[in-house]
Amino acid sequence: MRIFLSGGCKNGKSTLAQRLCACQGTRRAYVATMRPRDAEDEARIRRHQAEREGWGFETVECATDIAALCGWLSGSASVLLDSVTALLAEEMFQRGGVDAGAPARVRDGLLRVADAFSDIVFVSDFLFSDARRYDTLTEAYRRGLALCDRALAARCDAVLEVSFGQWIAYKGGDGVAALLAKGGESAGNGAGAVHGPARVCGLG
Amino acid sequence: MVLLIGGAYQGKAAYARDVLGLAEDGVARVDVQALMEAPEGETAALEALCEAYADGALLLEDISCGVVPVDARERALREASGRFGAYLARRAARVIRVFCGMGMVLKDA
Repeated sequence: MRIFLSGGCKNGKSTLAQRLCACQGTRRAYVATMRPRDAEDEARIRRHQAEREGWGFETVECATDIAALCGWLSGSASVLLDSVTALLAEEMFQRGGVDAGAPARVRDGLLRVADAFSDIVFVSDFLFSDARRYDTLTEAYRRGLALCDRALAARCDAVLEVSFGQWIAYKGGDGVAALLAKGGESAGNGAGAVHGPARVCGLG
Repeated sequence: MVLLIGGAYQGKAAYARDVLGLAEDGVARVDVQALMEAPEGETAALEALCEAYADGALLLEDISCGVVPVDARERALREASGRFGAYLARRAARVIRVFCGMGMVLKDA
């Protein structure tokens, strides 16, 4: 199953993504997309590494040219790509200056990856509910991220929003629930904090 | 009226066009600033908007989840946007939240 998930920071996206990835395939690959720049990045990476320990993930580093992944891993691998946000930032800002062509290139690369792997989880970040209008570059980045997100959401079998450890399905919710149920204990331990799907109801 | 809410760049206009099948003149972005400054008052202006797009859709960017802006004008805009959104959602036959191009029906009267 191809799954796209996004949501706010520290809401449980990576935890849910790991569980979902562990529920499919036999060979599990974690695609590390962030090139650490400072001690804070290093600490974040170590925290994520500790969270993945014991889950049997092979780590593949790929911070740019994401389509290269198609040649490195067998199509039968269960892939966890965390995150679209870091990939775009890397392509857009880290080659010295700003690359305006990055959003479309990253989107196309991600779609090729989505074609190559039928069991894959894409993690992105929801940066779109701010009242503030940022500078031109930041807005270009936000627009670019939305471009990638929307293309992946359209392509994936399931689209989830993670909110405070709960998930909300925009599509494919039944499949995700079945996948998690099938995974059972093999989905790892200590990861029971992610529940869902949330119900939507209103006061009129 | 259908109210489409969602964050920036999420595909609200594309959703109105492609999923709801609405023509461009049946869809309008809610201009929060203009509503705040409407000479006839907020409520009358909101009502007029609901009437004008009774068979169409209104798009409202959800800017409610970010940091409270330091700038007083931005802060007022953010609060008005939430207030207007709640008003329009009560008047709407349907409220759909658009997330990465996908719609979730929050209300279907």
